[in-house]
Amino acid sequence: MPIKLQSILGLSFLLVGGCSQLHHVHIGDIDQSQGRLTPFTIEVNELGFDAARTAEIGAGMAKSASTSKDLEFVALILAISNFGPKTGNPVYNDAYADQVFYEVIKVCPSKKITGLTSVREATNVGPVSGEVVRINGYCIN
Amino acid sequence: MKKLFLLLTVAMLSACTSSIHMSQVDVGTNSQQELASGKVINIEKSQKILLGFVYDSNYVDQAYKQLLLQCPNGTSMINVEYLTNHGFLSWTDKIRIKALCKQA
Repeated sequence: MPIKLQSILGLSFLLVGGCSQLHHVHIGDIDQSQGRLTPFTIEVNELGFDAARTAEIGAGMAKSASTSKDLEFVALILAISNFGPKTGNPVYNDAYADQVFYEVIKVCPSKKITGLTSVREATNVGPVSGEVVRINGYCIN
Repeated sequence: MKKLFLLLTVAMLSACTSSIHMSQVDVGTNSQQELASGKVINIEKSQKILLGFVYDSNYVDQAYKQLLLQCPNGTSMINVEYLTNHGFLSWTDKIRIKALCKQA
């Protein structure tokens, strides 16, 4: 198979092969007795990037043995520099979910909220991902 | 030159990554008054962990005690976030609490 066709096929699989992953879900109390319910969704997301895995992939694809060795060393440095438990891919901003609390306060004009569902999920495309915090709920009218 | 570029890239990519494990919001019943004009409090407690040696999770209990102190009448809405800041052979676990305190 010509190298160009191989690259196109590989890239297509990478793009089409994106998949969602649920990490955590929490469902709160639901009160349907106070009035009509209107659904709302608040979602924040951040770019997740696994640099060490990218370097590992690069090492596997490198044409020369020395480049492959260099990239393996880079992957090792990145792995020990970003040590610790991970949910999804690491992000470079730890405050991206801070505003959900204030958004929930503002979302209902009636200031009556019920049925809050908190979801932590990700959409992965290889070593890159969208790390998502989503809050679903209902305004009581 | 190539090695220097590689080194700089590695240094940039290894800076301060984080991971949010959980962020959940809970709201109590009859909380309209606080949602309209309540006082928001922020609490953050953390624990530095070296090489994975962890012996307790007291920082979570400290955050909870702080919450009880700052909202003596209870809370009407609460957001708990659990995250990790990654570092060189170490990491910092954090718990962030935002809450709307109930008025007296």
